Amino acid sequence: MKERMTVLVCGGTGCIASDSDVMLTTMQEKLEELGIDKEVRVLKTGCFGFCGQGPIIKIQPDNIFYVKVKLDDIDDIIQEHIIKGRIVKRLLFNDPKTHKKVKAHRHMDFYKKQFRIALRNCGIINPEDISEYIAARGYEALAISLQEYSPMDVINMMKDSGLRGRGGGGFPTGLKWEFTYKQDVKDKYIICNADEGDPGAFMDRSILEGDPHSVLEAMAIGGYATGASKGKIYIRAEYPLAIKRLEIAIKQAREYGFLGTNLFGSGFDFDVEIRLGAGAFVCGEETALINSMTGLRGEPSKKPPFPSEAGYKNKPTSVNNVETLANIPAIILKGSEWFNTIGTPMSKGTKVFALAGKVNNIGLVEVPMGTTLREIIYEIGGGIIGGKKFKAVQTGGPSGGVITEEHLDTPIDYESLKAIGSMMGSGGMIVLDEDDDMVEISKFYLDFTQEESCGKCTPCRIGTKRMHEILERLTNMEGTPEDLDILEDLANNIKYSSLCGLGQSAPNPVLSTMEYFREEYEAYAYRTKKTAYTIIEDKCIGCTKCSRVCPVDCISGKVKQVHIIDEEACIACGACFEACPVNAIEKP
Amino acid sequence: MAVKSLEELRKLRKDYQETLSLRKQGEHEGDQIELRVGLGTCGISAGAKDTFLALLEEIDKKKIKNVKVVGVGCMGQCTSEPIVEVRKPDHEPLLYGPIRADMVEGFIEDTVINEDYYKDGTLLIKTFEKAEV
Repeated sequence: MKERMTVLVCGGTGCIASDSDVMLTTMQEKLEELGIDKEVRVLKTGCFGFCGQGPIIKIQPDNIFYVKVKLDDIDDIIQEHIIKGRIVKRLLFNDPKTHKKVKAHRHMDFYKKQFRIALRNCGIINPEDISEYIAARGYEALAISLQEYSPMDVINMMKDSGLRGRGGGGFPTGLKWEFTYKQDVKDKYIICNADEGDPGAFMDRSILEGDPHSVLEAMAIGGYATGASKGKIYIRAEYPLAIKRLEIAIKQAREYGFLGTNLFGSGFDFDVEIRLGAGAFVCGEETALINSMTGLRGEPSKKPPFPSEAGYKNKPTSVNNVETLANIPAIILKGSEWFNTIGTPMSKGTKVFALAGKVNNIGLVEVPMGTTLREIIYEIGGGIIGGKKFKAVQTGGPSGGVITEEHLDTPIDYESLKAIGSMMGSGGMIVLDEDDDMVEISKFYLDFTQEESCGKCTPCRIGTKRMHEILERLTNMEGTPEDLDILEDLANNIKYSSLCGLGQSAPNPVLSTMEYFREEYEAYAYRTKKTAYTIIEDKCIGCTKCSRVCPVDCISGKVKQVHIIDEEACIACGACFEACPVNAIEKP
Repeated sequence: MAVKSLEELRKLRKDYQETLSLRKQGEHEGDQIELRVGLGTCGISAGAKDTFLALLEEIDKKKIKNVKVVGVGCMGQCTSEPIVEVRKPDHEPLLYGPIRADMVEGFIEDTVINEDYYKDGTLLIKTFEKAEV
């Protein structure tokens, strides 16, 4: 690497859409012409995570970051910056807060929106090698807790930190531990809930696969704080790699004496056992999880008694989610005050989201609480694929709801998501664009919940089935306007009368889409929904492109004459829409 | 070898950190190059296992001695899987993706043998900060 300068041109989907790939080749050609292509290297990079300001070009080692670069600007960048070493000021980012031009990348707020606590070691250490975890200060939080803190000290640290359950409910972790601690019973348990079941969510799996020791360490800390000497990990059998890495981690931790008897010479004993679940959604609910572990059917039971009073084998049990646990060693090492400074007044720390759907950069992201959905979707996610219009984002999976454009600036925390009819959930986040049909989306979730309903209580077992039937009727164009009232009524009844969280939240996707997209339900109910593409007569130039791509040959018309789509035969595949050069085709 | 106290653990950490320091800062004195492949379920389904094996095979074939291939967890950028991170002494770690098995030959040629950037690949930008414990 002898070159004096490197030009990094963003090759993310968003920037390529604004011709960054052309800029890259132009840049290379021009440098070759000038004969300096050996000393100035042009490289294509992945997304910088700031697509709103794209296309982006970064120059190193100067660490100068140019935004909204156009093809015409390439000359200036070469002549001014590369040759003369003068910064092209007009291409610098204008910070909206300070109204100052920002040169360096690391001085920008928007850059690195992500902050990793739970994922701090994920993708960085080798999860199958305990020495790498130890080198990252692994098991030190456990050693410090055992040597320097009393169980109540640890509990108070958790309470002060403001850590809340990341499985979705958001119950304060310190409080949960305290309830278990206060039970004057000899045998207690701590359970790690790794029964991640939301469609599209993979946060817990990634943590267990990438950093299993952090979860084991946190369980031992929790065991010490609550007085439990036995830990159980309830994980679904569909996660074979996570299970394998956990097994390796447990074996290694035992060899080093981090699990077993008399940990760090403190007299505290703790060991962990893995229990495999068969992958039932309801078993993510703590009482159903405990029933399943005991060998009973995976059905929820009435609370109270809470697991902290009578849980596994009727003993006090604390059930904590994987992501919650992964935060704990960091809190012990860095202190509750540190954790307390991150996030919003009621929700501290960060949250991991599995970002999926119609965004350019799908992936696993961890952001401080209080980050807005807009920042996640447009800056980290890089916006909607193909520049299409954003419609909604679904959070909380089958228990959550949709969030529309008007609420995109809502800071994410437990309370504000609830206030707009969705929920934090475990962290699935599915972005929907203008082409998505909201009734079909609710039907998908309801199809899932009615199948996953354990059948113990009537509202959930029969109610969700009936709701699904109504949605089926509607989407088959066999529904009536009365169906909408029945659907809403049913949804509310199920919500208020079901036994556990699954039933209580199952109607949420329907209720929330009905609130924001009622017209889509009405279009089905009144059977006015268009299901075929149509051609706008005034715009059609008769180029025949649409009829040539139509897979079912339902477009007729002669050259230079207006074409017509046979609406009965149209399968709404959208091929004609993509092919039309003059935007003369209208979507259904 | 049970670790019996916090002090013992800290001593052990220091030892291990020396081996890991190459990874973190790229400031190792030797000439060890490390290639880290994201081997989460997501990476594997995108072909990371094939990439991982192809890297091992290529290194073996070319009789390269100073390269270590390590599997790590999910790197978080699903769009660009399989991801390979190149860590060299005295250099910032570089992330490339996607690196499919059929790209490995050119990848090793560029990054290890010629000690250069991988010219046919896409360099990934690390888009997060993490808690330094």
